[in-house]
Amino acid sequence: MEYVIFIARSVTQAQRMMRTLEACGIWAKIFRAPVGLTEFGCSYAVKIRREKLWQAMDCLRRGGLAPLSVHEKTESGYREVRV
Amino acid sequence: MIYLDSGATTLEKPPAVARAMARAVGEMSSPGRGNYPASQKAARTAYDCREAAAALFHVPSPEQVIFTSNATHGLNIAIRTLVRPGGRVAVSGYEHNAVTRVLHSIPGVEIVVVDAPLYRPEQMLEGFRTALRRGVDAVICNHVSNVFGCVQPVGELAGLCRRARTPLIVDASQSAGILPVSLTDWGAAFVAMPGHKGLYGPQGTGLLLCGAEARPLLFGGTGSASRRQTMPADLPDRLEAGTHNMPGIAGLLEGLRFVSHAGMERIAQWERRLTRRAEEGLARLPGVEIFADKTGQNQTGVLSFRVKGLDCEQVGEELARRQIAVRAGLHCAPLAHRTAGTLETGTIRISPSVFNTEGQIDLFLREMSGILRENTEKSV
Repeated sequence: MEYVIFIARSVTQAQRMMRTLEACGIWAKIFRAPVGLTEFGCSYAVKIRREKLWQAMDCLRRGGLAPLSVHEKTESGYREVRV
Repeated sequence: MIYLDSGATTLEKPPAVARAMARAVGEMSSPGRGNYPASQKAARTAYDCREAAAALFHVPSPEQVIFTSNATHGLNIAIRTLVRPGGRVAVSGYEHNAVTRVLHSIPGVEIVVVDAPLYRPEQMLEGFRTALRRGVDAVICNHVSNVFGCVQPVGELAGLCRRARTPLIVDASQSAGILPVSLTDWGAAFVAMPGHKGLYGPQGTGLLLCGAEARPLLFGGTGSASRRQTMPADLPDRLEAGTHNMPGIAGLLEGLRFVSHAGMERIAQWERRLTRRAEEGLARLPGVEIFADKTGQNQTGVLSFRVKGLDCEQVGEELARRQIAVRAGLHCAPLAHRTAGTLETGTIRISPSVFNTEGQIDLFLREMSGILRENTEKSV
């Protein structure tokens, strides 16, 4: 499955993102963010399906949530997505 | 035992509280520490608790709900954020040591005490109006006095503070779970509350609702931004260093659900009904002085009284011997006693919970009558 991840500021923000997305009908899963993607180490990320990215961004914006960064999973690793 | 000391700690909890705590001990580790189920379950429970508190107390976002170990902990964060050495602070004349001792620990702070007679909110408000006109760095006021149950005009005070652009700290220790508490409506900088009183959670829990940027009191691991040697900038991690009290948080969540389900107004009405019954009964006993709002408008289910010729601690002890638990003395609030003129004697306080009954109040009154009779016989 192709997916993108939103890097959260805290596990609490990740929880809020996940529930906001679920309320918008978007499947989301929380996991520890890969260390290489975090500026200061130890963070949480929310994973969604690639094709839901723009719907999810809209949903998060309406919920007053801004991820620290967004990354797309590719065959060679993660690639940052400008949103 | 008849337990009438819920102003200190509600002893009887909804059964779901203990069940949730036991589950947490066996099934939860710490939120924000791993991808494994025990950590994820802890994270979900902590978030559920923040969300439940945010809904109950009108907090814009669950991140602004901070877990503390009690109201004192939250008040320390709030006060140390807003009050600097040499600052000037206005407080009500009914504050607890959880406020006054913190202020006294900051060098050179000028404390403006706003005095007003018991159950006179309009006079209290006038005093704060004057203090704000003269200029203060912050205002601190409890929503309800832990000694006398008098309700302070926090809604109106919040309006004055907003207009004066002065941050307000509310100590909601005696009101959370009983009266409407709204971070949004008040526009308060901070609202602190314990989990173990009117929210029916376990001891060792509390909440700090943040409407302003806060300075950490504790520094340490948060499971986030670990490479940084400063605390994270974002709430709640900024104020929550170290491992969370997950059994406590799981229990508090059930307490919050109980309060939401039962309804704060219904709980408050029942407790007030019980203290009115006690008040009417005590008024018939010789030598008993009761501190009560005759209008019934400005008092919660907390009632203080004292007995002529009897030390309040002696009355508390006699009641304890008869399996009735009350609080006697100064209730960690000497300022409130000074304001009310009871500093030299202290008072006896009863504070029922939603689980007490009218029959228990009648038994308390019967035992009080017995104590007074015995002491009269001894003295003749």
